[in-house]
Amino acid sequence: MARPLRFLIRISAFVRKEAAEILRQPRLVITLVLGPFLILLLFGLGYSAEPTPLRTLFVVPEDSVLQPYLRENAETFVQQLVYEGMISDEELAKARLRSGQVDAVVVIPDKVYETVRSSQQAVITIYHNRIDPIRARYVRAFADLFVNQINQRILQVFAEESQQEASTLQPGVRAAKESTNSLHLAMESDDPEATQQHLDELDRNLTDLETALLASSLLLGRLKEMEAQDPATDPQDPTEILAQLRKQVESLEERDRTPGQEEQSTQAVTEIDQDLTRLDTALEEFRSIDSQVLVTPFRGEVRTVMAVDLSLVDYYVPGVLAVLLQHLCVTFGALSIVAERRSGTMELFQASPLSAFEVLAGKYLSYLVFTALLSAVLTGLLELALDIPMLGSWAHYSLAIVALLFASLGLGFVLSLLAQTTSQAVQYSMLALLISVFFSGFFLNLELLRASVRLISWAIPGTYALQLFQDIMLRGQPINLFWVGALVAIGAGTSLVAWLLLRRTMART
Amino acid sequence: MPLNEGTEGQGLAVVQTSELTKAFGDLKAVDRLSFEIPKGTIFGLIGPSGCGKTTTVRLLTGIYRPSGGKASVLGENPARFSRETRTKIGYMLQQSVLYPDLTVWENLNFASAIYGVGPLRGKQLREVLEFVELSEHRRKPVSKISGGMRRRLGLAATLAHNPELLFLDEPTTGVDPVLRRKFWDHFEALRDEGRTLLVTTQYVGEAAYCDLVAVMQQGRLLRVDTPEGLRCHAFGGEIVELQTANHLDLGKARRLDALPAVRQVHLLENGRARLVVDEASTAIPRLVEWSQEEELALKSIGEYLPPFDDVFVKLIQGPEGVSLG
Repeated sequence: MARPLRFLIRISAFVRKEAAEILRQPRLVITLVLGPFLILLLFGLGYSAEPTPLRTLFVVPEDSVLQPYLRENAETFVQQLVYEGMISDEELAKARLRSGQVDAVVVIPDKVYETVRSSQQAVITIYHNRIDPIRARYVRAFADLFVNQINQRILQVFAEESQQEASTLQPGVRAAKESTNSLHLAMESDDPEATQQHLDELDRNLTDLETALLASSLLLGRLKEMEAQDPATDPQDPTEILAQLRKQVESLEERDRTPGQEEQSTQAVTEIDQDLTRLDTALEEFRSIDSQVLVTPFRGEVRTVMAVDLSLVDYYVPGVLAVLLQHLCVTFGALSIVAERRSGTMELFQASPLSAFEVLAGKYLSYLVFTALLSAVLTGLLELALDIPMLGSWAHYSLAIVALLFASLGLGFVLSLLAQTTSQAVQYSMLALLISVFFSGFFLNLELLRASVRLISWAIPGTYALQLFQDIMLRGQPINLFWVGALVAIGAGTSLVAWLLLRRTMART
Repeated sequence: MPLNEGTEGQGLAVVQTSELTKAFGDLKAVDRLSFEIPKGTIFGLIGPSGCGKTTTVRLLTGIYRPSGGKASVLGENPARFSRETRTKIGYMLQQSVLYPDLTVWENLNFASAIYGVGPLRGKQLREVLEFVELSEHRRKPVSKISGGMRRRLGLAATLAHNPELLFLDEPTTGVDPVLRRKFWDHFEALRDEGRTLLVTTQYVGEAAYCDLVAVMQQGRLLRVDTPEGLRCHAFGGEIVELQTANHLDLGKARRLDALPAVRQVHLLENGRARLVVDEASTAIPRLVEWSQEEELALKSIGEYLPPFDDVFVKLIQGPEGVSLG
């Protein structure tokens, strides 16, 4: 019989043997398919994206004016805040926190006014009892949000008061208009004394308006300055209108002392009257602006350029698939050769015409076919049950899967040849899983790892697979041939190492 | 299941070793073995556990490289077997190396495929299963068949690629006596087909089924001979047992010992005696004559074949070993 045919027969012996061994264990097959699927399904159904509520107890000094305010409004500050009451004893509040009765204690400081007057910020302390650093960060974020809300509310009160003051300016504007009319009449009747008197009156009216408007217009004025380096004159800005009025009154006083300019003076009085009307309108507009908009003129809005809005489950599916498929392959590979060695069949292979290459190729082929089928079934189930997004090409996804399986099986075979016992092989496989969970980007973003540690990440097949799956499934990008090449390189490298190790194992000693 | 055509005629040495040695560190597992196995014979390798039998088999199958000496199997150095030569060799390991989740047929199929037997091997495998009487169990998973069946399946797997030389490492260990007998029937049938078998065993009594027996102890070869040859060597000749109606006294025993054909006389009770002679067939007529001359009523006389356990102990322990009494 021709040599190539014998080579194929020997390889096919392993393909059939491994397939029969796997299929003879229906429970194993069911566990392999349904296990990962159920894990993902449970995760999908069980995960809640709602922020975790924080049962919050307030410690407020007994004489604080904030007591009734917080009692009524605390829950409106932050979405996750659950108001659990208010006491004045800080130690008692901390004891309740330690015993788990509440999740956070907010301590409002005493003598806020004195502290601020001494040019210091009053500190609101938020206590928590979390040991999980991520949850502790969550509480910190909650604290920042809460304090911002408090500050914002205080500013809002100021703004509302400012708007209230703006309403009191309108009688002043009317008085100024009356003075203008009287001035106009005095000028028409050519009565210098009355003209001067009404001019002085108008001057006083403007000074009163300037003083009153100063605080109210501050907010809008600053906001306007933020918009441009060289802000254009805004015809509706009360401050600017007032400034213009001031100039006109001053020029009128100047002209009044200069004979022969009566016509220009009359024109100026008309313009003053028009400006006062504009000022009245502008003040009305200022009053109508929502006080919250005044103190928080900006609002953040995050939008994605992605074609679909991804849920957390959608985001994790590619990672779970990458890590699970890698783990399955590593475990299969890790157990396969060590099992042959433990059962004694390796000695039989040594005496037979089998080569290390044929053993490895046979096992590779059988497990590659089996795990590819497993991946297809798992993907199908996920698609049907969880409606996972697939924005890219199925062909590219399949290619990425095959590359992952090839690399992971190679890794498994190397571990199998390094292990002396089955339990060692299982341990190696579990270690590989743990490394993947922590360093593949599945659990923590790779950017959070130091560059030196990231070298480990790039030695794990799951890292590349995760990137590929995310790009193809979630971003709809074409397959990144560099990542595929990296997986093929890992597969080729580990296969070469496995072949050398198996050759040594099967070598005649 | 006849052997492939073109096999060489009986009598040529299929296996030859000369001063074959294997050491693991300071321990010499096999120490200067020299023997030949002629084609078409059952060659028994007998010795206590740990005497070097399995190491010898591993040296001859090419699994181990020798530390010294030479070996030739099917005309090749086992350390550099060609693939072609490997396909002519069947190796049955001491322990069962079957896959428990596979059926009897699947195990057999795998065993033949790793030797490159073509896809049209069904008929050959059915014959092998028939030979070991497992045809009706072919669809059963190995995990569901008995230990004896597993050993038979192990033999079938060794035969699946139709090898001309078989190395069977303790094939009958742990097998009940009835099945053991059946195994030896199988071995004899295989030998009669022209195959050569090297069978290791701890059961000394099985030496009787071999054409040639090599006795090993502590890595050394004590003797290679036919079973009869071993007996003769162990006791210094063949043994004749006679029983007379009268009591055999010391005077008669001395006269018996003085006969040219008799080497040793061992007196037993009830007028019985065992005599070590050169050749039983020529000694018995002379002894009948002697009993008539001595006027002894001879109740029985015949060749006595001591059990191989005694032969083995005698070989290992020397003249001080088992006595004929």
